[in-house]
Amino acid sequence: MAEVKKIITVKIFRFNPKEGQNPKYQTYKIPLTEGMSVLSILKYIYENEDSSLAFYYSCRIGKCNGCYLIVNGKIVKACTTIVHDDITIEPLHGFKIIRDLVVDLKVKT
Amino acid sequence: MIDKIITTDVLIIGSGGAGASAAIKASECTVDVTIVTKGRMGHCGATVTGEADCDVDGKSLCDFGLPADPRDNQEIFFEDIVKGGKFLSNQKLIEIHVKEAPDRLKELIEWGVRIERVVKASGHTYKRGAIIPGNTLMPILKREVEKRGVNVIEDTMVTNLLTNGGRVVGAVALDIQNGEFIVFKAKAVIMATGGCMGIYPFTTAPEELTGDGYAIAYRAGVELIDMEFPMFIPGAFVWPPALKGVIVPFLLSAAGEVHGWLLNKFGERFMERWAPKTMEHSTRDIVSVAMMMEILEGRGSPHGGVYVSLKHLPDNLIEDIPNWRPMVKDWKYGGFDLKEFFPLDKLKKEAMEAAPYCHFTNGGIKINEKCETNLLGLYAAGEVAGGIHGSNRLSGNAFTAMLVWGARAGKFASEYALKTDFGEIDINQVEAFKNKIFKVFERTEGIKPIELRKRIQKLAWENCGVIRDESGLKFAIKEIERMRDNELPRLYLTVKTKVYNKEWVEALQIDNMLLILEMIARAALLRTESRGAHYRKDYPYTDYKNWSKNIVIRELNGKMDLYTQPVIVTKLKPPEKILPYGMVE
Repeated sequence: MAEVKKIITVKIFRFNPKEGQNPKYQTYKIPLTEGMSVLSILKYIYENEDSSLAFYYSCRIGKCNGCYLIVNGKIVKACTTIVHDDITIEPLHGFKIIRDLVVDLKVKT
Repeated sequence: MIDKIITTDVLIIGSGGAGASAAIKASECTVDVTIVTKGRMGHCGATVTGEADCDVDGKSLCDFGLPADPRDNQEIFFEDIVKGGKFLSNQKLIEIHVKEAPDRLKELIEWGVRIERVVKASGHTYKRGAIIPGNTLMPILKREVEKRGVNVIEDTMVTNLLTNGGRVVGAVALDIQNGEFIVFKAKAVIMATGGCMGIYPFTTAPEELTGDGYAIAYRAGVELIDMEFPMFIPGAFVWPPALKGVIVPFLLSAAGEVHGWLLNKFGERFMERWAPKTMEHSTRDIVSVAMMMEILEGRGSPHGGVYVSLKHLPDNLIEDIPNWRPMVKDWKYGGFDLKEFFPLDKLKKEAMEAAPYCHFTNGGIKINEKCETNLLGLYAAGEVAGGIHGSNRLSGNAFTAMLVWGARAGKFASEYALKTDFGEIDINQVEAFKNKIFKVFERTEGIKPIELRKRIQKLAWENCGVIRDESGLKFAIKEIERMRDNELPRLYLTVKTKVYNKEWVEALQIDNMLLILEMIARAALLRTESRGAHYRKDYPYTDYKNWSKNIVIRELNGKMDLYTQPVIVTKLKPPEKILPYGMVE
């Protein structure tokens, strides 16, 4: 249905401190269609490529402020940020990391 | 065996507007209050997504100095709710609802909530929708909860209630952050988990709303009412992907504002066939059915919707919309920059694409005037509770219900907790519930949670969605039974971590989703008429004469049992007629 515009490279921060895994970046090749957000990409990965990816979101429409991440070095909401090219996705800085992109907003580091 | 035991007088499951309202009221009594939520308070649930109007009668709004109509009053508001719900609301609840709505709004104003404007939405005789965006309301409610010292436990999914001797004594939960098994000991429990829109692939609500509260209550022997009425709205974008679930701003606007024209692929303005007078301004149930009929009968748009066109407007009026329409100020909407997808120049030439999306659950846990359920010590409030909206909720009444009934649940649950001791926990029950949570790790092959979730959602959409009929519902029930017996027991996890494992949470949700879909399908099959949010293609009329009664669902001898009960009427009797669907008497 949706025409794939191009294949992009998505680099994602992975870390599981509770189970002793070291931080690393993992790369995924994703078919980008028109009008995909960072959240659409994360959901695509979770559903089709790698269900072990941990990330938090709720409303998908820019209102709950639950999906703030760092994309290409900038703090953005994953759901309202549209992807046009390769991206690097990291968790918010300054908070304890629970796993991958999920941080504990109550514990600052 | 148990990683953590948390003891609290009143346990509230869910941290949205209803849960918060309950916590605020409950903490006014001298009881311990704990909120447990699957997500993160203020960053989950449907409350934050509400644009949203909060209904209060016009006279009371005028008393607060708001721009409303003093000719309106609580009697007329009462009548609109009963008529909007097509005479299935519990009228005892509605009397309280209209009476206490002003008190709750007054409280919000005292806490610093700003009312942006007052709107008149379809189905209301007068303007009563005080606009309070959910994402400005929720931080204020959260602050009031925190001020009162309520313990809030996040990222924690309750899976079962603990009962003993016919009363609730607590609950068990999974701590999603670390995989720990938690037991809550409580004197009273308030269910405030919201709706079950997540069982549909197309929903305006957060996807985590998988109806957990209905399933948890049902398994503990609690009765549910009006489950055949999940509500759909016309419509949300089906394209582009980032906007899926976002309501099209030109379809739900208040009377007097710009409405898009709904067109099928032949360019036909199909609302003419359904409601030639009110057209796109008709109530949401009718517009949804009309849109879905076009989609199902192959007259839809390429991405699975129908067209929404503004081309009937002159170019300069289209250009002017962002200047006067507060919802799309600066051509930004719901956090999105619409220029990315629909520059105004494009709208002068092209239509948008929209479909009906599941927006709300009208039915739910059966409550009485004190929010009590048939299980002693269990209360329910907000969307998870049933009986208020009948077969169709009026716009703006979700927030009112959340505030009024949330506060009442908090009050009556804490009064009950004050005169009650903690009940004994049945350790065998705890162990059985724990095994159920962890069992999915034992299997090394089978069906992935995502696959089964998608199959459930497809079935929900195609057979138990906006349009139903006997053969589709019977097929759905067969499929549900097959999935329950053959597929649910074969769920396995491809991801083995116990730390924030989304697949694990998904597996637990699926168990709830399948149970709720069965409730919807069975109730929808039993109701051989069309009314409000329930449209039967094979019975396209509203049978006020024979069907002005509620369907109640419960577990009986291990099976799902349905029975009907007369509607509770205090003032307004249902008509005795049989009318074509959608006709306003």
